[in-house]
Amino acid sequence: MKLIRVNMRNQSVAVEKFPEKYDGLGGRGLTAMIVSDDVPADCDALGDKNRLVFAPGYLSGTPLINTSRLSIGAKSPLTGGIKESNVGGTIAASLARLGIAAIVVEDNAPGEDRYVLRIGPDGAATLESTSALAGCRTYALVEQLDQQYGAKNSIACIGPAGEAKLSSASIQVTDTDGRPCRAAGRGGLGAVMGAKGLKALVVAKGEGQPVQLADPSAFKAAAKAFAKAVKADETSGKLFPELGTANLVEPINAVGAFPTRNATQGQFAHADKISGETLARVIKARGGQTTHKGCAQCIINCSNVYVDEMGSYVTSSLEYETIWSMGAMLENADLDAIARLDFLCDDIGVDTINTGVAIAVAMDAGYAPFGDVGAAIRMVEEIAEGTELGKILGNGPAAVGRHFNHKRVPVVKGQSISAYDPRAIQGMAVTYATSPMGADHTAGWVVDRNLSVFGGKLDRFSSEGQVDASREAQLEMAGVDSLGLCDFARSGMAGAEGLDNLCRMIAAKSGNSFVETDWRALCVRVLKTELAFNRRAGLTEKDDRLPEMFLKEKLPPCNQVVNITEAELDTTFDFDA
Amino acid sequence: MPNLIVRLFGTLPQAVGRYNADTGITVIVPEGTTVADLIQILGLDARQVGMIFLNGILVDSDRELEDGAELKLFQPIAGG
Repeated sequence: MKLIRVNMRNQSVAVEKFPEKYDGLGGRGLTAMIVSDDVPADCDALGDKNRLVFAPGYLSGTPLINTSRLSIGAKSPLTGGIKESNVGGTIAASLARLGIAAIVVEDNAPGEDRYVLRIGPDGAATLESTSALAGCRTYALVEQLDQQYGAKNSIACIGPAGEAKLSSASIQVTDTDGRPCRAAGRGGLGAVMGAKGLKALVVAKGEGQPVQLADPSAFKAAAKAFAKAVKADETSGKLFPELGTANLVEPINAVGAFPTRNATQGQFAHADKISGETLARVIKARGGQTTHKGCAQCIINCSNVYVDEMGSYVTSSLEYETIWSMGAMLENADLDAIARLDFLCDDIGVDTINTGVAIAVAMDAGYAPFGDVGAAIRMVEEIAEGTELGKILGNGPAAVGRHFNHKRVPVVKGQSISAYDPRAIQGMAVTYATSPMGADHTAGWVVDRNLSVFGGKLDRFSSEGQVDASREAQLEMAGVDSLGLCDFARSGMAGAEGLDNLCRMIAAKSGNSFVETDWRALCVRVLKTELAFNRRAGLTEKDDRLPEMFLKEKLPPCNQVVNITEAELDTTFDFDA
Repeated sequence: MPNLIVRLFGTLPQAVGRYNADTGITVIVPEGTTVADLIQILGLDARQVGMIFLNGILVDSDRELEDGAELKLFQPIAGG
């Protein structure tokens, strides 16, 4: 495996042997170590000292299913801390097959220069000027790049929001159909890419060869058992293929944990109009696609292709979090409008979660009425136009709150919460508050552990046990994200054999022993590295706090506030507890 | 005898068949029927059912059904 180092100031590209000190690392673990080693923690996230790291997971490019997850790491302009933004599509598998463990993008290009980093079928990397494509939205950009380089590529790129260095800017990645609809949305890493002058990364798809395995037969046996468990699981085997992530709308709304109208209510009266069940029905009736494969080597197929009444493409994939941020948070029950907003965000290159919540805060501050879909669409368009309000919206909910002097802003470390209100599921309060990533549901999802009907043993309104649950979930995700494994394929880890199979595959790839204690050590190492970076960056325990709205405003219908104390939060990373 | 509307979510409608997504299904059950009994009557495996809401309130499967109620059955969820 090799590491490609690109310097944007002098446009030099160097290929290095993969450093021994990073042996056994991939994905989030690798981006965390490189950012921690190479980036001065107190630097300007948009300045020349920051680095942008693309790393496929440790198991990407192997025969294991659902391993085409790419980790993109840098210091975040949104949170001020370290960031790993995780995305699917095909690019992680493409990079791994070409023997590339990481691409490290250093320094910033001079002036307004824009470049494409091209990785050819032989794995050779070249930096090519592309200033003619400056300002281009992602769908048009990908079409142009397809014409230039051929369609058989995996692309990661930014839209106008990234070029404008806005803090909600995403990096959009192409899916199996070649559309730039998979987003490394969180943490504003599109702005880092924009600051560096890198418009796109174009990687030859399906070239090279599968990643070398020390013990192929042991790997394949474990991979087969893992895949069987994923397929047999009710959620990853049936529910996600049928309804996608949107299956969560109805149950989370039913328990009163679906933040609505800028998180002033826990239930949306029109949830049934935007539910997974309705979404699947509408898509099927119009000839779109449910059970769509968005990412390479996926066997879950949670993606979908949303089409309009004429059957024409609108967006892919319409996800639970976006349905929430552009739906319930805005009191918008119009699925077509939500799909349109999703497309616009992908095309302009902004995080749908942060952007929907930014609009919700603006509406709450009185800028536009809740439910005004036309206003929401205009506001997103303003981000692309670069108007004064557009820039504020594109910098996320905290920027909007400051602009309107509005206090109800559901963010931690500047990043918006996701579609689980922490007042109705207290465990999510711990994850949102303490994750080194800022508020992020994927950093440690403890919803199931908070609801007894899912086998959870915790009282969702009590603080008891929540810190331990969040710690364990955050540790597990630090490991999973390092492997390039899809969150939804964690069903393969359940049961007595699940984690053993995962360890067997890691050992069979490296040729070194790898057992459960090594897994734990890996997870702890990754999280500790991230936490230490954040401390060096100036973040303190005071940043591991939820905004006052969650502590003082009771959320109907459960009428609870977050009751986890600061002292409890501060024990989250007592790893030996 | 209690007459109530049952709404199914996730992949449960397929397991029951002849389910109308717009209206749910109307069932009439003997007095004293519990949610668990109804789950069996519908031909569902209890393990397929996660959250149970009776008139919007989260209940256990031993709850008796009431006339005019709306029962929502969800399948277990996981993910994030």
